[in-house]
Amino acid sequence: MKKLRHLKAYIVDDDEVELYVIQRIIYLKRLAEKVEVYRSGNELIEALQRTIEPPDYILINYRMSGENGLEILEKIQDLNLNKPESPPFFILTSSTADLSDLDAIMSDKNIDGFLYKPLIAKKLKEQLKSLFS
Amino acid sequence: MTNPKSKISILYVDDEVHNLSAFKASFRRDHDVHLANSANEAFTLLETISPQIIIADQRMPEVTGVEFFERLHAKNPDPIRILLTAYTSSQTVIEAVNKGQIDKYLVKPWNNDLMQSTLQTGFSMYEARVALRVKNEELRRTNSELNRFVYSVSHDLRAPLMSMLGLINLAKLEKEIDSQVQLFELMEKSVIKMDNYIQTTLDYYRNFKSEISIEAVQVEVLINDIIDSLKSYHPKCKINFIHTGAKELYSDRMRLKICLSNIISNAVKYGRKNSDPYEINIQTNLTEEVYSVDVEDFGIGISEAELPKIYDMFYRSPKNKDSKSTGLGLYLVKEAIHRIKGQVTVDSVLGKGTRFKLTIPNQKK
Repeated sequence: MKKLRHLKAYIVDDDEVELYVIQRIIYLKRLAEKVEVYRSGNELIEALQRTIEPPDYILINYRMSGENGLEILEKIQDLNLNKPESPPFFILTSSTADLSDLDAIMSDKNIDGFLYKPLIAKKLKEQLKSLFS
Repeated sequence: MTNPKSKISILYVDDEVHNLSAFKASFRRDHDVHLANSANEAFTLLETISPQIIIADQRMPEVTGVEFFERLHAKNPDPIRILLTAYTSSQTVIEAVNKGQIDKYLVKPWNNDLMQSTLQTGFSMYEARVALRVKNEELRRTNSELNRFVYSVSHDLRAPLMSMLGLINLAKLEKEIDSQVQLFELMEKSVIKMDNYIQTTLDYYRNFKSEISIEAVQVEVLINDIIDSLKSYHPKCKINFIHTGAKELYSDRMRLKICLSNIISNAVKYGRKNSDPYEINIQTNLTEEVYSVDVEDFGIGISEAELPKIYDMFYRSPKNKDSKSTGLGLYLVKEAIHRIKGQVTVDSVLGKGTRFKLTIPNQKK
């Protein structure tokens, strides 16, 4: 059992402003100790392959140019990274997302939670607490 | 009397051969006459010809005239359908007319003058029917374009708003003054993005709504104004601008500005490859007849596969991570330049750069 403020988080989004906001909220609300940001699925996969200290959770935006969040998650699982267990995966989605996108996210069994953007610190904290305590 | 200009294409279906030959003898000079001995033969023939008027005898073996028209209507509703009957079975005719498969009805043997005038009015009906269908298709297309437009505009306007909301959420948590200043800068960017989007939407509206108004435009001044408005946002871009020839172009100022500012701002935006300083070139020339504009950048370029799509409404390159794009800019250029009778062409090599050329007629009277 880890304290939230000692966790390590990866954030993936292709929008600089979003990345900045999420990163700061996590830092200010102490929802992780270390935060690393990536701008695409490929950057994330490279980081996961390289790291010797895998993250405790990953926050990834659903809709990005190129692959979407679920496709990236699938790729990560195909690569069998971070055995024995891959880190919890949170999908971030805009509240204006298409219904078909929401359906795809809701019915995906591999994700551990999903959050609407703009990110509200309290919601993320609740989900992290239920996972880590 | 027939109009020699409009030869009507007619298909006549009857099982009685002498009726067919009598019809052909009477009307072949004035019209383009096709004959069929049975409904099946007619359908085979219809695979290769598209007559404007189809005449069918009611009493044929196997398939009646009404049944033939019923099947025809399902396949091709355009041609005018004239039913011929020797006996007046009013019930059959009333039913057929009410079901809408028959446009005209004539009694056999026909009177040549009456047939001729029926063919003429039938042809006018045909033209009206086709015009109506074309108009309907156009309306349907405009309607779906409009729906898409409303969806995209509201969706795209919400994106920077949501981004603002995220920044405000964060601002409430942020205690350090330096971090707050940074937040204000990011909020400013979101507001500019929204404003830019609304401006483009307004241009879209103006281009469609307002009438063309030709006036003398100082083209060199216009381009310098556009360059000035872009400079502050793109300090690393050096814009080389050379104008030769006359000073005043007679054209529609608003649409001219839509074309020039979109093409130039695209060059400034996509001429950038990395964080190094970069240049774009604008060369313009004005004569009595034509204003030619050549805008060249050495930036990211456009792939061959994407080139045909760049003028489509709401098309955004999937490779373009710049979410500032509205997907409307080049669509507007295409629409606006069409209104001022000009043309736009593009040459581009992926990774090397892009060159847009505009030619706009000088409409000095």
